[in-house]
Amino acid sequence: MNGSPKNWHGGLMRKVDKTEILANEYASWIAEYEKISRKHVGYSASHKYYKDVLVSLLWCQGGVCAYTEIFIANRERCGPDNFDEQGRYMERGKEESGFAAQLDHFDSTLKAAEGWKWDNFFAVSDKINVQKRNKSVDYILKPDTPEYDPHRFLGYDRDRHIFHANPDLEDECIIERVEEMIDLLGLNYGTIRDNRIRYLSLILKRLSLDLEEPVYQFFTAYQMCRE
Amino acid sequence: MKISYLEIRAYHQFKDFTLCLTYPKGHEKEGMPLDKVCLIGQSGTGKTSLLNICRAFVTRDASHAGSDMRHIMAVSYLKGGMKVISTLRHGRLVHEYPDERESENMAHQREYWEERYPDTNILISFPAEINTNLNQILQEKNSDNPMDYLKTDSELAKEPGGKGAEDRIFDFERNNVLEVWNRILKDINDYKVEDLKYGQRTTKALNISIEEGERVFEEFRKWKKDCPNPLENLAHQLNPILNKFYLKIKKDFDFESADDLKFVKITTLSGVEVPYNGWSTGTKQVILTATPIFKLDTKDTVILIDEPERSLYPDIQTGIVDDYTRLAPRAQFFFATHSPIIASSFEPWEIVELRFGKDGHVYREKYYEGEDHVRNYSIDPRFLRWDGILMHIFDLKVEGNEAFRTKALTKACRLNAKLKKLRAESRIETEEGRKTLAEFEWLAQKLAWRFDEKS
Repeated sequence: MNGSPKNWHGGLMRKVDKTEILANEYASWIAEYEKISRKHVGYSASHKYYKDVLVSLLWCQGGVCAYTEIFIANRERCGPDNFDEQGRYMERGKEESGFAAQLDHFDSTLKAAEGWKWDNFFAVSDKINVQKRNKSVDYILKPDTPEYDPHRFLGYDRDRHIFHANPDLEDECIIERVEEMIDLLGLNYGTIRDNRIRYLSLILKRLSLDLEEPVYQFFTAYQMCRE
Repeated sequence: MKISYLEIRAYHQFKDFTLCLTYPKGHEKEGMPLDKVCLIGQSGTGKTSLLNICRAFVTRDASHAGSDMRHIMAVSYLKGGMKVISTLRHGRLVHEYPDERESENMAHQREYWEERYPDTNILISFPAEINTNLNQILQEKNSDNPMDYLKTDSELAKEPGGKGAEDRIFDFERNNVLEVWNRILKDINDYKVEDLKYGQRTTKALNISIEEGERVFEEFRKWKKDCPNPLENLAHQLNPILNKFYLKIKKDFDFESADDLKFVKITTLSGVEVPYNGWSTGTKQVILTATPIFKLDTKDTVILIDEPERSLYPDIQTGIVDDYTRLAPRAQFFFATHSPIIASSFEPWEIVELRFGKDGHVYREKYYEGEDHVRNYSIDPRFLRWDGILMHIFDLKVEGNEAFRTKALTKACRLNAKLKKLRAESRIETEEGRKTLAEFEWLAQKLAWRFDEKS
C-alpha cells in the first residue's frame, strides 16, 4: 500500500484508476470466484465486505462520487490507515465510518450473477443512486474503461453549470447516447447541480481575482471552466 | 407570555429534542423570545404535535396534550424577563414560578396569572381545517349559514355564565367555534344595535315634532362622532387583503334582516353583497382568521396557525404572514406550513425545520455553523427564489420536472455551445447553422428563456 493514488490530484470525471484495492481480503475472496467463474454469493448492503469495498473505492476515486464528483470523504477517512493487516476495513464510530455514499453496480444486469464484481462497482453519492436504480447503462461514459475520455464526449456550460454532449460530436447516435448517460448518471441532477453552482461560483470568482484555491470536488467541471 | 424554549425527552418521533426559540446573538432582539416561528418539515415530523404542545403549555391545560406525552418541558418568557418552567409529566402539568412556587394546583395557577395578566387573551388557535370544521358544525345543525347560530347581544345577555380563563382562549379547533365568534364580534354587534336604536328613536321623535327629531338626530350624530364604527377599522385592516379577491368589508347596515345584526358582511368592489354561502374557501380562510386576530387584544397572546396557505393563491400567500403580524404586532405566532412562499417571510432563526435522522428520530436542521450568531447563518429564505427555498429549506431534490426540464437544459446547452463553434467558424449562415439555431430557439422558448439566465 503506497497511499498515493492518482485520483487525489485533480484530473478529470475523471478516469478512475481502480487498480489499487485496499480491501485485500475482499480482493482475494472475489478473485477465487472469478478464477472458477462461479456465481457470486448474493449481493447485500449488510454483507461483511460492503463497507470494505465502499471505502476502498472511495480511496480510488479520490473521495468523490465516481459520476457527479461531489465530495464524500477526505483522504484520512478512506485511506490505507483505515484497513487492518488482513485488508479489512476497521469500523469506527458513527462519525468516522458513516458516508453519504452507496455502492453502485454500474451495469445492474450483472448484479444477480456477479454482484461482487470489482470492475462493476463505483462509490456514488447517495443523492443520485436512487434515481439511477436498475436502468440499463451505456458503457460510453463508464469512468474506468481504457477508452473513456471525458474531453471527447463531454462539454460544460460554465454559465449554467450544465454538462452536455461535446458540440464537436457529429454522430447523432453518439450524442444521444452521451446525453442519455448524462441524465442517467445524474450529472445535472437538481441538488448535484445546485451544489456545483454554489461551490464553483465561489472558486471561479476568486480565481477571476487571481486567488487560486485548491479544489476538492467537481474536478471535471472546474477543469472545463478553466479551459 | 411567550414561549422561549421547549425540551422533549421522549414523545413519538422526538427523543432528547430541544428547541431554542429566542433571537440569536447579534440580533437587535438578542435573547428575547421569537415573535414568530415557522415550523416546516416532511409530513409526520411532528409539526402539529409541536403546536399541540404549545397549546397545552400556554393554556396550562394538560388535556390539550396527548395522554402519551411524557417529560416535556417549556420555558415561558414573562413580563420583565421572568420565566416560568412548565413540565408535563405523565399527563400532569407542573409549573415552577419565578417566586419559587411549584404548583399543580389550578386555583394557585389561576391566581398567579390573573395577577400578572388580568386582561391577556391567552391563546388563539386556528386548525388547518378551519373552514371544514365550521362547515361540519353547520351541517350538524342542518344549515349552511353561521349567522343562524350567532346571537345578538340581547340574546347573549339572557345566557348564564361568567368570565374566566376559558373566555380568553380562542381555540377554533373545538366545538365552541360559534360562541367564540359571538365574543369576537361583540363590539360590532353592540354598535349595530345602538345604531338601530338611534334610527328608531329618531323616527319616533320625528313623529312628535321636527324639533324633537332634530334633537335626537343631533345626539345620533354626536354618538357617531364619539363612537367610530368598529367595522370601519376592521375594513381598513382587512380590505387590503380582500381587495385582492375583488371584495371588501361591508361597512354600512341596511337592517333588511336579523342577520345584519350578527356577522361581518362582504360585498364585491362594486358593492354587490356576497352571502356567506357564496364566499370562496380562500375568502373564508382570510376572514375567519384575520378578523379574530385583529379584533382581539393580542398583547402577549400565543397564536397558532396550522397551514396558513390553505386555499390561498400564491400572490396572497406572499403577504399573508406580514398581514397577520401587522394585525397582532405584540403576539407570538407559531405557523406550520408546507409552502415555500410562506417560509420566505421568516428570518432564518425563526424557521424550525424538522427532519428525520438516520435513527428515525426528529431533529432540528441548523442553518448556522459554530456560535448561534446572525452572521453565522448560511441560509436565509428572504434572499432566495422560490425554487431555492424548495431546494435548500424544503429539501426538494430537483428544480423542476426532472424528466423534462433537465434533459432539455442539457440539450439546449449543447446546441448553444455548437452555435458558438459555428459562429467562430463563420458557419451560422449554413444549413447546419440555421437548423441548429432553430432547434435551440424552440427549446429555449420551452424553457421560457430562463435557460439564458446565469445561474
